[in-house]
Parts: sequence; C-alpha cells; structure tokens
Amino acid sequence: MRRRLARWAALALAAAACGQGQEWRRTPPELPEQLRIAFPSLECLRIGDGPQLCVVELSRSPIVALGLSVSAGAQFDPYQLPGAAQAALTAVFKASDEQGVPVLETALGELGGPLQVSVGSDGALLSTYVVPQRLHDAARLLLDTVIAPTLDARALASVRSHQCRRAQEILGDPAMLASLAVRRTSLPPRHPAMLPALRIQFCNEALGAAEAATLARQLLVPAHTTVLLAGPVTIDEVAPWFRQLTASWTPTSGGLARRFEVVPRDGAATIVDLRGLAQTVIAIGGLTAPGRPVDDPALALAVAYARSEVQAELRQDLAVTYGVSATIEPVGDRSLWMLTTQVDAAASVAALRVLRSSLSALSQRAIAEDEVFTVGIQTLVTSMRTYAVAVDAVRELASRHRAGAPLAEATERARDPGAIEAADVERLLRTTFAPERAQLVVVGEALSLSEAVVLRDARVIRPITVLDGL
Amino acid sequence: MGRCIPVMFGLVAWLVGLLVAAPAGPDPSILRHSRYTLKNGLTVILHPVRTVPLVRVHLRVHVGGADEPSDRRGLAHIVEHLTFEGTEHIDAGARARALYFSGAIEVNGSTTLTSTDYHVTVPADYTEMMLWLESDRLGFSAAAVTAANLRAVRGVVANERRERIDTEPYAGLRIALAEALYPPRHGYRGDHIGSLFEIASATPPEALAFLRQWYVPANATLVLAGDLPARTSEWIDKHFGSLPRVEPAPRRAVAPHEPSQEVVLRADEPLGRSVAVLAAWPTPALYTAEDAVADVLAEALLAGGLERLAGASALAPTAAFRQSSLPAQSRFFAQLSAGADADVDALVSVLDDVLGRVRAGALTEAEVRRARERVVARNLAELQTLAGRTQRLHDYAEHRGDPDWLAEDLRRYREVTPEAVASFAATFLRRERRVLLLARPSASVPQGVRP
Repeated sequence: MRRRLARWAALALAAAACGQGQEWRRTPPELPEQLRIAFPSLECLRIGDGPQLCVVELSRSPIVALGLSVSAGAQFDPYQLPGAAQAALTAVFKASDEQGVPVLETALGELGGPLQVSVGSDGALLSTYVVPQRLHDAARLLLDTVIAPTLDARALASVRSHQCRRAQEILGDPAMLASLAVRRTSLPPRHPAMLPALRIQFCNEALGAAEAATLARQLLVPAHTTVLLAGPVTIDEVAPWFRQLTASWTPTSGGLARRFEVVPRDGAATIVDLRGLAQTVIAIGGLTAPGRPVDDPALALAVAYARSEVQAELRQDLAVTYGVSATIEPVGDRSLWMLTTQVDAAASVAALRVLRSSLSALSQRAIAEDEVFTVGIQTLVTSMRTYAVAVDAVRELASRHRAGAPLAEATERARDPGAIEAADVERLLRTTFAPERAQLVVVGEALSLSEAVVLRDARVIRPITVLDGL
Repeated sequence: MGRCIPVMFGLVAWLVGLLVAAPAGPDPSILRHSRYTLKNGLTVILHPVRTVPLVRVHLRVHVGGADEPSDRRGLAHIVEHLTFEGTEHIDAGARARALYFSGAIEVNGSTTLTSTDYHVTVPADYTEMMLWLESDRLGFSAAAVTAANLRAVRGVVANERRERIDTEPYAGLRIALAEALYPPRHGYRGDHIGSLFEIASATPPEALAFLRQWYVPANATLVLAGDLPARTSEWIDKHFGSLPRVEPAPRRAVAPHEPSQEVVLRADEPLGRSVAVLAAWPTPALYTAEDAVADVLAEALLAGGLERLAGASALAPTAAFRQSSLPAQSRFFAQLSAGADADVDALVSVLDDVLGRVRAGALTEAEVRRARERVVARNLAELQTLAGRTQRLHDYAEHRGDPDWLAEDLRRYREVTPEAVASFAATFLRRERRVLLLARPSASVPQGVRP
C-alpha cells in the first residue's frame, strides 16, 4: 500500500502543469504512509425459526433505518401473468381501508416514518426510517403487514391504474425508452430483469385479487425475509423485540421459483423513432458471461473504463454531451451492463462513430497494475460511505440479500474486495465490451440517424413497440 | 362488528400513546462545530464526525444565478464549469487524476440561483490533497478562462440544458412558469442555466470578470465534516490562508415580488403524454415560519390529503407539490396531471377546489400532524450523510448566521397547526397571486396501452 501510494503521488506530480509563482502549489501534499479503513459493526442472527436479523450499529445516526427485505419476486410470476408478483406485493404494502386511507402509510406517518416500497425483479424492500424512540412501533407495523398480508381488488386496481399511467409517460421519455429497449434486445421475453416492461405488461393483463393474495402469501414467508436495521441500536437490544414480534409467523415453504435460461444474442442496432428531440439518446449494453455478478470488481472496473473513455471523447473532445452514465444490473449469474448518453441531435452521427471507435480501441487497451489498484480505493471509499449511512446500509444489505450473498460478512468483504487481475479486466474489455457484441439502441429521428454507418442495418421501431415487445 | 371494537380501541390507545410519548429532540451536539475566519476573509466551519475515516470537503462561493447581469443568465453556471478546467498550477488532467487516485467520490460542482458549491468525499488521510486542489481552484482558476475552454464548456452546458430541460418531460414548462412568475430582470426569474442563446453568448472577458469579482476568499465558506485529521486547521491555513484578501462586490439585491393579477399560460408539452396543470405562487422566504408551513402543506397534500379532498374525481390526477425556498422569497409549485384525453379545465377545477377546501381548514389535525412528523424526520434523515451535514451547516451559517440552527429549524415545523396551514393557503395561494400553465401533449398519443 505504502509503495503504491507514493507511486501515484509521483504520477500526479508529473502531470502538473507549468506556471509561475507559489511553487509549492504545483506539488501534491505528502501522503500518509497508511490509509485508514474502518466499517461500522455489523451483526446478524436467526430469530428462532423465523427470519434473519442484521443490525449495523451507527451510534451517531439521528435516525434508525428499518427494512424488510424479501428475496422473492418476478421469478414466482405465473407464466401467463408477467409482473404479477410485483403488483401483488405493491398492493399489499399500499393497501387502503374502506375509506380509501392507505393503512400502512398512515400508521407510519404517525411515527414520522415514510413508507418506502421498492419492488424489483429479484424481490422487494419494504422500509422506513424513524427517530430511535419510535423503532419498536415502526417494526411492529412493517412486520404485521408481511406476517398477515391483506389484499383486495381496490388495492390491485390502484396498482394497475398507476402502472398504466406510468406506461403512458414512458412513451414520451426518451431515456427510459432507450434503457427498456436495451433490456428488450438483450433478454428473452418475460425475463424477470425486464421488470419495468413487465409492470407495463401487467397493465394490460388480468390478475384477480384472490390469485394476487395467494401469490403474496407465497412470497412473504420467513424463509424469504430478512429484517435489516441500521442506526444507534445494538443487536442485543433489539433481538428480544423481534423474537416477540415474529413469534406468530409460521415458517412455510415459499414454493418453487422458475429458472430463466439466458442466451446472449448477437449484437444488433435498433432505432426507436421519436421525432423532434433536441438530443438523441444512445444506449449500448449487453450481458456478461456467467459468473460475473454485479459486484465483480473486474466488471466494475471495466465498466468504469468504458464510461470514462466514451465520456472523454464525447464530452471533453467533441463537447456534444453533458455526460455518460453506466449501470450494471443482476441477471441471474450474469450481469447486464449499459452505457447511456444524450447527445446534441445535430451531432448524432458523429457521436455514434466516436462511440464505436472508442469501444473498439478499449478492447485493445492494456491495463496497468496501478490503475487496477486505484479502483480498490474507490470501492473501499464507496463502501465505507454506504455502511455509515443508515438508509443506504439497509438498501445495500437488502440488495445483497436478494442476490443470495451472505450478509454477516458483508462489511468484511467490503473491506477486502479481493484482488483484481489486470488480465481479467483486459479480457472483459476485449470480449464483453466489443461493440459488435453489444446491443445498440438509438432514440431519435430515424430518417437522419440512418445516415450513420453503424445504423445501416438497424431495425426501426416505434416507441410503443418497446413496451409491447420486440 | 363486535370484534372490531377491541381492535379500534387498541388502535386509538396506541395513537394516544404515541401523542403522549412524543420523541425527544435531536442529539443537541449533532451539528457541533467550530467556526473561524481567516485573515483573507474565508469563513471556515469544521464539524467532526468519527463514524468512518472519511471527510467531506465542501466549498461554497456566495454567488449564483441571481447575481448575474440580467441579460447574462447562465454565466455563474458556465464559470462553475470553467473552474474544472485547471489552474495555473494544476491542469485539468492532473486534477482529475488526483481525484481518481484518491478514491474521491461524490465529486461535483453545482450552481443555484444563490450559490455555487464544490464538494467531494475522500478518505480522511487524503484531506490535505483536497484542500490543495480546492484552494487552487478558488485562487487560480483565471488561467482556465481561455477561448478554447469556454467553447468546450458552452457545448457541454448547452447539452446539459438539452438533457435536463429540453428532453425531460415537463421540465421546460416548469421553467416557463418560473419566468412568468417574476418581472423582467428579477433575480429569481427563470432558471440558473439560461437559454441556449445566452449560453452561446458567454465571452471570455465576461467569464473572467465574473470569476475575479466573486471567486475570492472573503466571498466563500469552507465546510469540512467527518473524521478530521488533527492537522486540518494547519493545512487550511497553509492552502487557503495564503490566498490574498480581495473585497468582493456587493451582492445583487433581490426584492420580493407581489403579483397583481393571475397570469394564465397555455402550452404544448412536446414529450409528456399527460394533460397537466402547473401553478406557482410567490411565498415567504427561506427559514421563515410560513416557509415551514408551506413544506408541511405540500407533504400533507402528497400523503393522501389531495386524494381525500379531491374526492371521487374521475380524473384521479397524479400530483406534485413543492415549496422551493429561497432567501428573498420562496415559490410554491403545484402540478396535477391526468390522462392524455383529460379535460384541462376540469383539472384546474380540481386544483381550485382542493385549495379552496384547504383555505377553509379541511386538512385535519391528523393529516397535518403526520405531515409535520414526516418533514421533521426527513430533516433529520438528511443529516445521516456527511454531504447532508455540510449542506446544512452552509445553509444555516449563510442564511441564519448560526451553523447549528437545527433546533430552531425543527421548532418551526413542530409549531405548524391546521389553522396555520389554512391561513397560509388563504394568504399566499390565492388565485390572483398565481401563474397557471395549462399543458397538453403536442403529439398524438401512441396507442397500445390501455388506461
């Protein structure tokens, strides 16, 4: 660590520009010999036969965050009803009483806690935060909701109405259309990772309240659930409460999840024809090989390189974009990577040419040992920050829970993310990120975009086709 | 029915219990800090938080869009971008590498109508590295103001505007609303980013003059929060204390504006597929008692209040309500949207009816209480992060003169009553004080999704 810190300091120094006056300002300050790394305490235990409980102790946090993570989602959808699990869970969490008053949201509101519902393809997180004095009451409300789920036709109709409204809005949201289209072109039909699209399909499908209630009960079982806490509390303080609060929760089997086979497709280009935009949205992405989960450090580094290279060309050199964003999402034991940018519509063709050439150049790039080392520091800093913030710690642990990763050693793993081999990163850049293997989606005016060489054989579709399937 | 009585009784008893057992206030030391001023006028606030060995460095230059010449909207934002292009000592590439190799996260600059902020989070051991970079930015960014850099920055900023406003559904309409709310040349008119024409018009001499006028230590505040190393003050003295003292120009005064009649605009929304009604009213300034009332009202309407007051409207509108707080005068925004075929006048009627009922005191004690509790909890939740703490220390110091104004801030919310909410709506959310914008989707709606 010491030798490497000195080396990068020298690198920064060597890159300093020429100038006059205050000579010491050109020299980076001397660095400490050791980098301090510390994480808050994390402890987990099993509550009797019930769910797992994990607590991140943050003695200075002004609030305590509480989450119930459910590791069951779209993989339990009946085949003919994509989006059913997401709809059923949302309807349970947002159920209203006979006067139309949302039950859980109102009760949490008395405690000052917001109702936060996040339902993804691989499960759900029902969470809130409150001042520590109100934790017990908040925990009781959340647990009561999942232990004895109630769902009626009105709640389901409300979810459906919301999804239909959202679907309508997506048709006018170029960035969302691009992101959905990359998923559509990378994944097989009805795959759980296409959840945004599945939600929209649900808008057009019929799901009865009784069927949804049965599905919700199947999903909300102790075996699928982990209770997550972060704040000024200890596991010894709260474990007895949770034992009491979950005593009536009968352990039952959660049923069988469906498995989805994914076969990567050959690279192709798609134009979503949307006219009159000031910018063209360009998204490129694809699936990794098996065994590359979203927290694979080599994958994170490769995606960071790709984003950085493309941004350098499009923002610094051409000045035709504000920025390039990168995402990595789980798809079983693979990941779906995606780069997205919005460029000046008048510069679309030039931007596409640059995008392709930068990704091609990247596939030939040699990675230095020092470059690989620095990503370790960034990963550490990001993890330290995440686990020091109650709400983010709960969200991170929920994400690991849904991915099937053990939680008790989460901070230990974050402390030592494992060595990245430069050759591994180079292999990823050469294969996964090669432009001819990726799905390219462009949202803009098809007529002018077809001048671009990379779009010569592109399939041109209307926005609605992105929602209906390709 | 018989079984409901114990349940109802239990629920009532539980709610009464909650009211009696109100939680204690926040930890009184949560924003504990030290504050001092360097000889060159730079204000320094240090806030130790020892949870993990990270430090947040947040430099605020007290200048924003409201300080620009009225025909040069966007200049403050362009100058913010230029200050990332290097100095006479550290070029842009070296700066980027230093940040990258330091493991820096949450690196950004931001411009608002009232301030320009630079922030970064790093391992505590690299604190001095960030002070080296930020002090150089504050003192020596003039070297970045070249014709070539400005050309590139103008391109990037133009695309930022296109991305955030021109291709974001309803964003352009919200700016049109903020423009119509104020008279020409008012400091809060429109948005800090400026039009494409204004962005393209910025010249190097203008940018340089702006930088020299405002980017001086006496017009800036540096806040550090986190696991501060023992030598932090010594490093601040070395890197920032050596910058010369220059008196900043007086800030442009912004006077509250009182509209004399309702303004109604009609517009086509190029992207959004819903019929929408947007409204804005000028409201009392940041950190006043009424400003807190506005926050609680917005929360109460969003968390079920609108739905209840709108009753069984066939429109079932989705809504957004927000108090946008500013030092001279705030603005309260409302947006209701319904399906593409909805009648826009019917949507206006829903808004008018709901606000009329709020003015008449229709929001219940329970609705206001829940909204109040949630706003207080959200305020505390923002202090979980070092970023949230430096932001709050800056805001309290700048606008209340006391970086630890938290208890007073929360007290404002805890004193909000249903009567105060009704009175706020009756006083400030009157029809003759508002700008109303009626929007329809400009293109035909694609078929295929059943509403």
